[in-house]
Amino acid sequence: MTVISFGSGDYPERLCDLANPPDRLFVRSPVGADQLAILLAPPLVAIVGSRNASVAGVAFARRLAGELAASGVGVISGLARGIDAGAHEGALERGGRTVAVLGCGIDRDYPSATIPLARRITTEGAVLSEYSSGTPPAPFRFPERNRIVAALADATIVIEAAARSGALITARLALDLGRDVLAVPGAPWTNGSGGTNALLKDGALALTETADALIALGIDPGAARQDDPPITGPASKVLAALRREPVSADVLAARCGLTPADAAALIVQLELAGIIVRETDGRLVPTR
Amino acid sequence: MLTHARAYAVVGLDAIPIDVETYVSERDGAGAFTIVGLPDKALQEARARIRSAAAAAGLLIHKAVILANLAPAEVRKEGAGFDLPIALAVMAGFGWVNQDTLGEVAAVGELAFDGRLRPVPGILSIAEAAVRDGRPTLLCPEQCAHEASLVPGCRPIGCATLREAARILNGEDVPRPIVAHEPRPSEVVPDLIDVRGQPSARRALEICAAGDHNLLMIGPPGVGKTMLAKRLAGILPPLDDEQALLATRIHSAAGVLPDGSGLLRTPPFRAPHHSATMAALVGGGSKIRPGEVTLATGGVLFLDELPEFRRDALEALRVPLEDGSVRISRASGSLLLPARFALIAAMNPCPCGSPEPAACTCSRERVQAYQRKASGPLLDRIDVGVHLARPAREVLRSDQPETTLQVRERVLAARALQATRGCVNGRIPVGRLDELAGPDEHGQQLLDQAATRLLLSPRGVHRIQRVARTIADLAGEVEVGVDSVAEAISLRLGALS
Repeated sequence: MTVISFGSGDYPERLCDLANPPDRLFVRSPVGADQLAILLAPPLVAIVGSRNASVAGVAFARRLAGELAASGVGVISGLARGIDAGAHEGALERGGRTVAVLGCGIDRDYPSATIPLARRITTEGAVLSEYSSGTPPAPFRFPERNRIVAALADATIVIEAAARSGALITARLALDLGRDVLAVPGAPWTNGSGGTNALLKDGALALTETADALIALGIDPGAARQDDPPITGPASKVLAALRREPVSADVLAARCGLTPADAAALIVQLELAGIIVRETDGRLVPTR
Repeated sequence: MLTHARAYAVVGLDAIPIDVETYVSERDGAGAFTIVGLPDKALQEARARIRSAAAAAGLLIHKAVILANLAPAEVRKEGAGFDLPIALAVMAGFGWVNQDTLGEVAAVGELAFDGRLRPVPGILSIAEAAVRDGRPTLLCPEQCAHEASLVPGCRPIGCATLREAARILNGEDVPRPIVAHEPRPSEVVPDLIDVRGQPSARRALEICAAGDHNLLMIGPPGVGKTMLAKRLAGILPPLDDEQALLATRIHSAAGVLPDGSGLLRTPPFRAPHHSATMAALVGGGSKIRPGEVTLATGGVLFLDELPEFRRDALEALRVPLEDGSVRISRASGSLLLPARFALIAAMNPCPCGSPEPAACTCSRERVQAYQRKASGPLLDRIDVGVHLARPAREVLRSDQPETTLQVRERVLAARALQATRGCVNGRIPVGRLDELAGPDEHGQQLLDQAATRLLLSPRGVHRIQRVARTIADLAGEVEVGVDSVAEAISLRLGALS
């Protein structure tokens, strides 16, 4: 564990934009304090959102983080389950930079759902916190943590946040600091759309694909853009039906006039290609 | 005077011969009746039943000194089935029964105070042991005679009373004919056509029946999980002679064979409640009794509310699922019992069991803990998983359920294909998987892709291969094609998520 104090040469400059910058940063990372600047170098985005996100939302976060990582963009988040975990994992999958900021001491195994992920980040990225070892998680520490996330990133992306989500605090703090905020629009009748849609109404940039984030960061998306192979044949019919409305395999088969066996085979091919995911209630949801 | 009769002690599913040796002295007049040779409480109390039943037959023995020895002495003897052989040996001691004929037969049965004979469990095991022992003639309660007659070579003589048994041995009565009872209507398995609006679950059930795979159904209460499970026995192939005799013997030894049910031809369906202990599930107890896994042999073990089962009980299922048998060890000895069954498990998606996902009040942690409890010990042994939701109206409209008979025809055809390969798909050993169930080129590509993307364990890949082989067999295809592999992966995913 490394400790970086305010005023030291290794202290991240961007934190000085905060009215109340942390006195010290505790860091767990394979790199030394002097190398932390490389992990935190721009371009760096924060990807935050609901802990109780849909499977599709987490899949979107993972894909977005992966594609950003492949374009050299670092990903910072809060190591919570749901969107945060998806973002960290996506970045790690593509060998990108990722940093987690905790709302408790960095020696605490919290949250328990993301312990394996935390281990990976401590060996491949960095986990940091302003709290000394042993500090337990507490509700008031998460908004404090969020200010660090917002300050370190060039832009904050919010995926799936309900009207009173903690992710919105990060977004407001980012706006206060003059950083860009991007939000993924959601259908108003879905759970995690209240907060993101409110941000959009307040002037946040809409993000529906990776290119939107790259443009906001001033990176030419043309260099990074890779078109997905087009879906053809019966699979396209299935996908079109799911785009109209995510439904269970049985309903899908009924709508497309398929036997359960044929529907299952098509679903798996779309699933393995990462084009659809299975929600926990069995509904199939397109991710793009 | 010393007299002998032949009895049998049921141990697990087998019975071992016990020599009943009695000494009777009329003169002493002190009125003592002693049974030695490790009798249990029920057997100790045989003294009262035998005295009273003998009196009902006209023989007063309460003033005599009687010693009964059950040999071999180190075998624990349990239950009231020894009443009849001891009583007959005692009566022989008084000269009321012909010792020569008694010495050639086997006897079993519990006595009532009025001398009537009452049925006892384990008749089939006893009849088999008697035939092996060279005593094909078995004196037994008349209710048990039909069951004993199922054993080839056994000539049971059903008696209503102790007096009748004595008279038959003395040649004063002729044995009555054996009456087979009508099969009980409760044995009729309900028809699959009743399950409407769950086409993919019905399909999963058919695949499991065809290849002997284990199934996990996840869905809110009332969508048809139990209905489906109960109907599996109907689409499974009926038990052949050997399996039927084994299943009947198991049920008989456990004392759960319905009166006069004859050979069990329908695969058994066992649905223990989730409060079942480990001993109830896998067998055991101080006297080793077959557990639910053994009773389900050749049929279905249905565990409803899977996460509510005790964790040690679920853990104990792993060995029988893998080996098809279970070894029970107690201080009194160890027994290997058969336990080859299809496992059907069902669970709610969350602990609150709300019928609609939207109405669920469980926290995510609670849901995860609930699902982990079920999946931890068993997930690796589940081949097929399927989610059931409340059937949507459009599914109900388009769904055309088939009858049990139609589905069973396909299952039997698929089983016939497997028989030519000499192995049921669900039990193809790993070493022969590629030879018997290797997918074609495209199928293999998809399987590799799935293994990488879904981080499947080698065991998980093997399970997909076996299920894919069954799907191809149901379609009558020689090669395991990409569609079969894809469907098998989809069914595996249903168990994982």
